[in-house]
Amino acid sequence: MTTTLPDALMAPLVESFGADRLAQALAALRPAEELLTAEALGSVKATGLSFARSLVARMVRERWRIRLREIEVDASGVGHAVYDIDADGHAMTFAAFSQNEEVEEKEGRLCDSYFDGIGVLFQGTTPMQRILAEREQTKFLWAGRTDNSVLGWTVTNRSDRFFDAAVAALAVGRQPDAGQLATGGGYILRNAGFYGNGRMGCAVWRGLDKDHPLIHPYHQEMFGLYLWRGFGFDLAEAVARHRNPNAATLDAGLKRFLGIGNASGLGMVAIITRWPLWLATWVLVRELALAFAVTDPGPVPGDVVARFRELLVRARHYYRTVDARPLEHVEPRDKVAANLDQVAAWVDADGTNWANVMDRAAAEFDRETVEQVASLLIDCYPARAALIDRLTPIGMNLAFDVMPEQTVADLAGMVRRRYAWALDMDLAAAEARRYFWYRSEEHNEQRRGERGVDPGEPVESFVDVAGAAQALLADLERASSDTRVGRFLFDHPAHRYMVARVQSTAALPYAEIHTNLIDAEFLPVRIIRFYLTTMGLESAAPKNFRWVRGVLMQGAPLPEELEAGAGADWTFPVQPDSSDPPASPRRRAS
Amino acid sequence: MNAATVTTAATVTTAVREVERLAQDSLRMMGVPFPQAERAMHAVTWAEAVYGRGLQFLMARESRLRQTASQQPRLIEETADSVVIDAGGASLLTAGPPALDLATALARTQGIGTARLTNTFGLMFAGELVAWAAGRGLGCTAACWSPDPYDPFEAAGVYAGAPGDALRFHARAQSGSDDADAAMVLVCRQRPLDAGDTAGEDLSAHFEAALRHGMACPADAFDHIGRLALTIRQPSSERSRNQAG
Repeated sequence: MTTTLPDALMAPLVESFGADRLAQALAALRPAEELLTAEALGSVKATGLSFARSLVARMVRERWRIRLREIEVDASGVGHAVYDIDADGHAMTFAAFSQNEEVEEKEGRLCDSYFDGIGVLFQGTTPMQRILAEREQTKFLWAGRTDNSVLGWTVTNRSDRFFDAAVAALAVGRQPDAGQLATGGGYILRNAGFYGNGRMGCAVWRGLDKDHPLIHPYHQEMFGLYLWRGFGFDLAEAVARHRNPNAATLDAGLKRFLGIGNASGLGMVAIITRWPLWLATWVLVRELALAFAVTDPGPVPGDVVARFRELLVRARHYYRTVDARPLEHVEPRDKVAANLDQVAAWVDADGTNWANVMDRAAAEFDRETVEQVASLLIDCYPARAALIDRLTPIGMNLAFDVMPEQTVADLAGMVRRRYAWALDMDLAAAEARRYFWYRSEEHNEQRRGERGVDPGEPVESFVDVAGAAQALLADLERASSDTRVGRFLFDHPAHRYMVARVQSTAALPYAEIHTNLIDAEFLPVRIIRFYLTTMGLESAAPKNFRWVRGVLMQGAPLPEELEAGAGADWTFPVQPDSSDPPASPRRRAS
Repeated sequence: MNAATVTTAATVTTAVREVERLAQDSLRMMGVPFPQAERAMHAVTWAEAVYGRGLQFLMARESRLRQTASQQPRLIEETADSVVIDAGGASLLTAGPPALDLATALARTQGIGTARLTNTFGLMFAGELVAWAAGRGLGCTAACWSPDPYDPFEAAGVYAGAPGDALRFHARAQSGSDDADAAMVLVCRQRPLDAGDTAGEDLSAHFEAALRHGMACPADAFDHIGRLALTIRQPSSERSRNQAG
């Protein structure tokens, strides 16, 4: 479908794969119409290109060292911990300040005035005096100030139920019940956000050195999650020791199984819509990796086939065992697992033509299964995915600007071709424009309001892509066809952002969500799931149509494994047995 | 830098992305529509990085910005390679981008494009227009004339920049303008700058330094604009709390 991409993306691809091989892959890209509906995006599954996965791969490859410098907490867990980090020669410091107040509801929202933990990720090895000075600023929360020696502040809350259960078990010399912890997905701390990229005056991502260990998009945020996960283990053990100096320590197998809880809501929809180059890049790298897999010439190497079979086994076991809660808005997990059984049978019976496998899956199964198969195929070629992942920071930062010399006729043609999905919508229909997004005073983050009911319409956030495309084309059709876009915008400044959007993404196949996001029928949960999957969430558990819960970093290697360069293959972890010493996540049932 | 020195009575250490967010939200709350505010935030941030006066401008000129927030510039004259625009009293933050777009279109189709913008204010943002043009692959100069050379936001002189070259400012009085208000002549071309345009103070390093090290912003402006930006947050109805979002 696509024969070329922007030069900045083509160059590294040609360098890595050659022009002919790249052309084959580009021709095999799946069509945007198939992939970019909210429903299809909501079915996408994590791969090695997901940000949590690519960060951990880097940490293992470079053998990052994360060591606890000191932890001083009281019996209720109030105090601090400091970690020294050596990321391939780059020093960083993580300071975690722990609190434990009785709070009725700990939602972990930006508007909250209390969090169980506030962390600071410093650049360089940071002395205690500086850390304590920063502590004073974190007491003001988002009114506090910092500087460019800090990459960001991050906040967390304990899961009172699971954290307390873990401490209670350790204090009496036992391991926590993995089965009980798994009922919540498998975590003891919950992510409440990472606030960096200039917030409170901290370092700006664009200002980091090109060889900075956290230069890849979203790696700062994911590293914050990884650090909280480790702090949760250290905190639980330290509190247990206050109760009993001979308390048990968490078994490594159980620690590996535990991730960090996460719940995300409506704001994700506004973020993905606001930055079309991000969506375009995230989908493109995934689809390119898949396209290379299905166009590989010749027989599939035996080790790749073995890898695919192994991943199928692990995935279907994970679907059958993880988080047994019945969920809305997702395919039943047993059903997906059963479908993966069938895929395994096809491979055994009919061989490994990946294009055939994908076609057959698309013909016979639900969208979630299809996307899970696609993700497993991508993960069979990790070295190639890593090469493609070089496009991620480039694509997300392509120029976003208008091309004022283009003619109105050319721009109108571009809109008709690229936004046919939007132009076909009847936006005058009842309920087609029911909602809008706005920054909530109450929550201090994006929320969805109802037109005519909520007061924020005059300053609504840009989400109505379909409406903007229709309005732009209507005005373009009224203008003289040979008029330059710069002249058109002079008379129609309201279209500036949409024109930049259309022109800047013109050579990118996957830039827009093909769904009316303000329609009464739109389910935000689909886009929230896509966002979290892109971050690296393996198993999303929608709480309702506007909130998605899940666990990140579940199965990720522990710091001691990073140092040994081990644990890179960590997806679909197996829950340790509750009654026996926990099994290794890498010891799997077949 | 020690945290104790982050905030003083006079300045606040801030960052490029933080100023962008504050500028966009505060401009919207002054009435500037999203598409213009989304572009203008870059100019405010550039001025903060180079002059330390981006947010101060928003505070000092708030009432004028509010009055002209939705003012549409008027095209007075149009030739094969030039345009004359009456900004209608709007600042360069909102009147500058359409002027640059017209000059860019002319330069890319005719080799050179000139946009003369009159009846405007906020000339210090002209440098960001030049940097933006260079990012578009064009050589560009912006000659600025100000009726009040002592106004810190209305620096008279010439900004010049081109792809791969330093962005320079040469403070020199402009002759030939009888405008009562500030004016700017923007020239974009698809060829290198003239030798005479490559003199002056190099401003290029300022933005890079701000990206890497942060910026010291006047505390009163930071606080004022920060409070204004926060008003973009809107109350929620009980109905939406329960049903919509």
